[in-house]
Amino acid sequence: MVAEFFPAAGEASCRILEYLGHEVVIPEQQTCCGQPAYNSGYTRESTQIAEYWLERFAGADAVVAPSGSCISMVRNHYDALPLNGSSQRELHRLQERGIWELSEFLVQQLGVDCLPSTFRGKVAYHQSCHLRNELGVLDAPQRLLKNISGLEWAELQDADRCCGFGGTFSIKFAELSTVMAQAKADRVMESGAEVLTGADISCLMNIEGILKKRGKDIRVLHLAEILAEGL
Amino acid sequence: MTETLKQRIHKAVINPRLQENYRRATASALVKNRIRFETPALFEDLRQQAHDIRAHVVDNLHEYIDQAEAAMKRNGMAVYRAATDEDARRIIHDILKERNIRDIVKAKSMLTEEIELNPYLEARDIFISETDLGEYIIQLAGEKPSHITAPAIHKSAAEIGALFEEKLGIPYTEDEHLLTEAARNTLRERFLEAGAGLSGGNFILADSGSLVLVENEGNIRLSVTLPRIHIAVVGMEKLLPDRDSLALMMELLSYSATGQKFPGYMNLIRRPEKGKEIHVILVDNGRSRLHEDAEMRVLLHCIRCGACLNSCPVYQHVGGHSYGWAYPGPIGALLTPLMRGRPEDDELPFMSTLCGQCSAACPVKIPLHHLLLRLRHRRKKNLLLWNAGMKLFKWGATSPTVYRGAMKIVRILQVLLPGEGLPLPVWSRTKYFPKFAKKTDPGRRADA
Repeated sequence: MVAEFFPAAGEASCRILEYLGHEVVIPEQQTCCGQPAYNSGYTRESTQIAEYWLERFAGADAVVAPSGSCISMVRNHYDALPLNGSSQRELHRLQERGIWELSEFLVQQLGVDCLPSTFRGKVAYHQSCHLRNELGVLDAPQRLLKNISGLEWAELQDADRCCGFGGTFSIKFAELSTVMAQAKADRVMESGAEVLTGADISCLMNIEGILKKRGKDIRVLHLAEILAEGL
Repeated sequence: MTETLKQRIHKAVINPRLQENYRRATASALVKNRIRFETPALFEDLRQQAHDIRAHVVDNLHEYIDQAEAAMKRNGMAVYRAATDEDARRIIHDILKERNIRDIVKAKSMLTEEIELNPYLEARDIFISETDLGEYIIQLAGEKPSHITAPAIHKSAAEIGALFEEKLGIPYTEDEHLLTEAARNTLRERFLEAGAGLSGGNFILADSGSLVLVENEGNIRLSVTLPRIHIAVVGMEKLLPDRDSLALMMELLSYSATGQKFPGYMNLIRRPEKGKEIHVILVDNGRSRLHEDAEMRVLLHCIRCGACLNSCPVYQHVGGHSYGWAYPGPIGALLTPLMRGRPEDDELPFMSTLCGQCSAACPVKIPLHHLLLRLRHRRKKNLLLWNAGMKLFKWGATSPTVYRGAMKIVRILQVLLPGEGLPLPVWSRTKYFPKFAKKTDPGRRADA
């Protein structure tokens, strides 16, 4: 998702990590964690994708991604798949080393909750469900955002309410997904924000899908893009 | 019910009044709940204890059922075990028939919805009066409950006012107190006339054989004490070891259901008064099957508080009736396919974004959204289009050549498409879909 639709979020994540002195390796030939197949109940397909993913990331010191949902898939759900022996060993090795969502890595692992970013504007933050309920990251993104000096915080009502994406849910139950996304877009518009941000591209794409359809010029940026501004 | 799930959803989401009723009602329950558990650590600690108690009971269920049954019999109650819904209905009808009772009052019970008791008894000329205010409204309207603890949650005061005006002949009002008063006045006589009172059961304490009934309106204590006969229909898993475990459960049940520190009334019923009878029917109806299912057994921990409904963004939009059975919301999307198991129920586990709010809210820590996910994996894959799509997806996601080739083709194709976004089937009817970024290179720095 990040690579194909929003490469800026990926590039921004690299910039932040390199600014903090980390070497970033983007394993070649990586594709997807397989969550769409897993959440649709396709055990065999998601297992094969998981094994492919684990081969690509074999040997990493830590895995960081600008998406709570993908990280949750690898960290919490790969275990439930009938993986082959070497994939299982690699998974457990990575689980020990650390598989992190970006804001979680910055705040909880590195202890960095303030970056000298230069972003200006009124920002609303949507809490992604998997980041909070699957990874237990309650306030890392909010802290990072609120500590940017030029950033004006726009309070988003029901910020912790699902945007209605849910992967293949948005296709299987398109009508329902749409009313959920519309309710979220209503709250974003009521917040008076110029910019909507969040820690998961999929949620952002979903909400942006409604905002653009309505012709609203609220910019939608990934958390990493805001944090990386001026670094 | 001949409507499909998709049709029921459609009917709900295009009804703005229904959307507003659900939004208002569930939001207020959520807010109250949050005030109570503002220290997440406290909630976590309490619900871990509650989980442990429920797990202990469910893991030793048959021993606890035997213990509870013996204790209740010692107390002078008649105890029955019903293997199926049909058995439960027949046992209840037999008790009424033998005593020539044609007129009963009923306290709120979801289990009687599960076993579809009302239509069965009505077809046998038994006159039933629902005495819970919400259930009373639903019965007058000829509808079914849309929530486990708040059966008329889908109705606004204005709708209830119009209903009462039509059915009870009172002047139209939206005043909750006047509406409640009107219902109370009609129901008063019914309690006195009824030959039997029918209730569910929140818990049975296995050591003392006490039946626990929790309520806010006082209708349950009237229903079960004024008539000479009390019949309680209880799910066979609703057991607790003793009073100590009840104290903890009450705190969690009450807060999770309505945000109250303690319910209006808690009735502990131990033995029948002189000249009266208490009949307790322990219902299986698929619970043994759940018990044998190692992965899904944890569903028997449920104490029917409704917190997963209140916290669910899908429930808030589609409402209780869309789920098609007695239990709506995340717990219903699990229990319906597992316990009722009609082919149409297979879709229910997919009607969730897996956001996890239900699991976070559950006072006995049932990992509801993970169980929904597991059920999806059990389902027979008979949708050819999805099967083909997932095969293609797997093919692309495990082969860099195929993946890069596909992305290249899409990028060439999208140049030809007019407009800003991609015209994706289904999605683009209501939402803009971004075009693929011009340039991407996931292997950009692989060798740096």
